[in-house]
Amino acid sequence: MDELTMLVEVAGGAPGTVDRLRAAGLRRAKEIAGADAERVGQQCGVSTAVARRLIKAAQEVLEPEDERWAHARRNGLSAVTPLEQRWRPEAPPSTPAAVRADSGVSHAESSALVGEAPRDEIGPDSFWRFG
Amino acid sequence: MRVVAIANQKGGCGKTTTAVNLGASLGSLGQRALLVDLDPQSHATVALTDPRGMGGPGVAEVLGGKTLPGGAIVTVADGLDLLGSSPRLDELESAWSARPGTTPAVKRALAGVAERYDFALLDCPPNTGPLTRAALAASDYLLLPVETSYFALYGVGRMLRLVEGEAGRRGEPVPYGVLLTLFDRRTAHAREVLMQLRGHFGKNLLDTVIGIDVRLREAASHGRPITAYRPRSRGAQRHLQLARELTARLASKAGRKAAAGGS
Repeated sequence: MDELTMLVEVAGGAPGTVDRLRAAGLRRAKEIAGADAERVGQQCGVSTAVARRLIKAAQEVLEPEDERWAHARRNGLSAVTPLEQRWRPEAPPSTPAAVRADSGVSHAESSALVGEAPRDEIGPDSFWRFG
Repeated sequence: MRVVAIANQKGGCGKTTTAVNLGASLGSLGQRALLVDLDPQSHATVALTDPRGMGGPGVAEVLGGKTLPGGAIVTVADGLDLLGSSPRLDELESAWSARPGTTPAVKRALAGVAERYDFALLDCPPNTGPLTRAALAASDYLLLPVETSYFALYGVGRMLRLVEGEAGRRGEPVPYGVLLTLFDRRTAHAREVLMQLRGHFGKNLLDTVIGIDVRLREAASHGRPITAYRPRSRGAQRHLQLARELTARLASKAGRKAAAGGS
């Protein structure tokens, strides 16, 4: 799913809205976030209400990530992020253990390098602490 | 025949609703689809047949070697056949848990009907047990329905670790797509989950999103797929969109594979 499709889904745009936005040169959140709702509505044939929701969604995308979601992403999904990378021979080491074996850095540093929480922070306790 | 496993160890995320309505949508687009209900809860079977008629041979008998698939398959909609489940599948799953070498069983069972269908959809139980592993081993593609909730982000991670194990066994990655289900655009929470999943999965998150639609639940209670119950509903339109997107994704994957094999 590309960014524009996601924004239209969030805004509740009708089928075809993605194509009309693309045709109007509005393809990315940063292009939409600062747009004028009425103008977007007229230009792309959507209601002003949908255009407003679209702009709000674009602004949300550009906001810094909430810690709650960052934690869910790290602990729920980070272990599988490099799923496809691992099958590419040129892929860099993608787990803390692999990074430590390669470079000899510390446990915390290796976790930070691959974007994971250190192992001792992962588990039911950490989940409930944040959940 | 393309085999698609529909799996997520988390319950209540829309696996069966997706399997039933995707199968019917493929059928209505002119494809020949077989839905295999691998869940001992038999929800897909109940959603498409009269529960009073259950009791004949089903997937448990096929996987147990007691009957051939042809003797257990029934037609349930235009272009859609069903290999139904029953509580007997529970006993089989328990027996398989203690017995090695059962992983290829689903693949072997489907080989006998491969010529008859364009698609086989495997509706998996909500766990990562032997039936789900056997389904994954038989599949060309994993469709991972994910409901829009905070917990879903954790469940997906666990499921994809199983996919990674299967990739190790095959020696190549298993193609998968994440399907967002039960999406309620009105809640900020659902919007946040969508943004998180897109940020994480990118092209592996399907463009199609299945929103909450009470018609989907009603259709199951009437024993019919949404394409027959309310063909003009939002839920029906979204499942048709899903069928088109899945067909296109599998065609492009097959094209790339063929091109790689030919070079």
